Amino acid sequence: MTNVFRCLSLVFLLSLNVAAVAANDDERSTRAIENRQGLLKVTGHYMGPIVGMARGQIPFDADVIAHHATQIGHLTGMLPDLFRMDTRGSSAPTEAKGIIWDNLEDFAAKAKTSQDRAQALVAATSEGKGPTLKAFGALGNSCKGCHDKYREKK
Amino acid sequence: MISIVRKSSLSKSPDNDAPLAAVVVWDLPLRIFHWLIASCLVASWLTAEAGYEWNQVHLYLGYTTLTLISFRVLWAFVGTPSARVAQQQWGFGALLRSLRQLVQPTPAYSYGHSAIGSWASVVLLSLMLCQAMSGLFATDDIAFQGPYYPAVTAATASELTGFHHLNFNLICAAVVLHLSIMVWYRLYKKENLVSAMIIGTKDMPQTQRLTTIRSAEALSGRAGILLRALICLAVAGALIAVVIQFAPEPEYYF
Repeated sequence: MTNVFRCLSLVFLLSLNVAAVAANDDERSTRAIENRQGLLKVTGHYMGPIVGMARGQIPFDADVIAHHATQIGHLTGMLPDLFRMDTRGSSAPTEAKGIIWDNLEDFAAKAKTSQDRAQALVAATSEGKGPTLKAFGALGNSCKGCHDKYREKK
Repeated sequence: MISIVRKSSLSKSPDNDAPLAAVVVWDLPLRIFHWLIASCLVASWLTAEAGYEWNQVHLYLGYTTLTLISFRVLWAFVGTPSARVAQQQWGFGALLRSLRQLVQPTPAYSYGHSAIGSWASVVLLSLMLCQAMSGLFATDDIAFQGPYYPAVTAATASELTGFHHLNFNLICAAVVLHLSIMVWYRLYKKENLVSAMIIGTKDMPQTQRLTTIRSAEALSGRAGILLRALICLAVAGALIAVVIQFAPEPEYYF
């Protein structure tokens, strides 16, 4: 009887432990998700004014675009790092699709494409408005390519 | 002149033994409207898929769609009889009758829409109106924003963007149904609705009421109809221009 009791206590304590680890994992996933979302929000921050210039709502400024595109290049370079953690089991709200972690190489390649195109945009700013906006379109398309495949459609 | 065609006279089923003659069933502005909005729909779809070089074109197509639908609403009150709300049948009885007619292997010889066709056109145009209106608030979180995106919270914009994507599927389903009905009419009911929408005339049994309609068309005059249509288009265009003009300035931070 004592043995049965001991076993039960052990199982109980172990299950507490598992729950604690699970909670810890969930917390880590949540943090990873929040960090990713933060990174993409900051990227959006740098995209905004270029979108406004492309639409003619604010005056075209090659220097601002060059600066923003440089930052976007750095930020897109961080995407593979921040998406390394598989958060499929997480309960936190996310639009990231699970297939990201089945295709991490492709995901990283797509991030690299965006980074290359952001750098190409920096270079294009010295060639005038037409080539700059064309390069910006190419950057936007690379973002869209990844969103279409790896982001939950709204 | 147009009002001499009374609603009650349109509901009677035509005498099938009467000789057929070409009757104008759709006026020219209505036909142009039809093919323009169809082109707009296809072009909007293509520009939505084609990438960011086509962003701005997609936006203008949305404005064009809004203008065209506003025109059509005006035309439903001042157009030729087949375009008018008041001259079409909307009641439940008429709906049942037109449903029964739809499954008969005989031409419907409707002057304008059948009751079910009237409702279908309202549904299809409403879907497209909802699509264009939700597009005003939409964003793809990359480089596309509708002009009214800054007017709502990010959460609302996200909801409306979701609706914009969902509603497109409904439009596709409605278009497929629309086209299937055209094929159904052509193959089963032996009536060519597509050519009527292109050339405006349909072969209809020669009866007294159709002669009345035809003379109504002739009396109202082509130039008069076109002028009226141009005024409607100008009003619709001005309305949408005002809506776009009052779009809030987006906030940008550096």
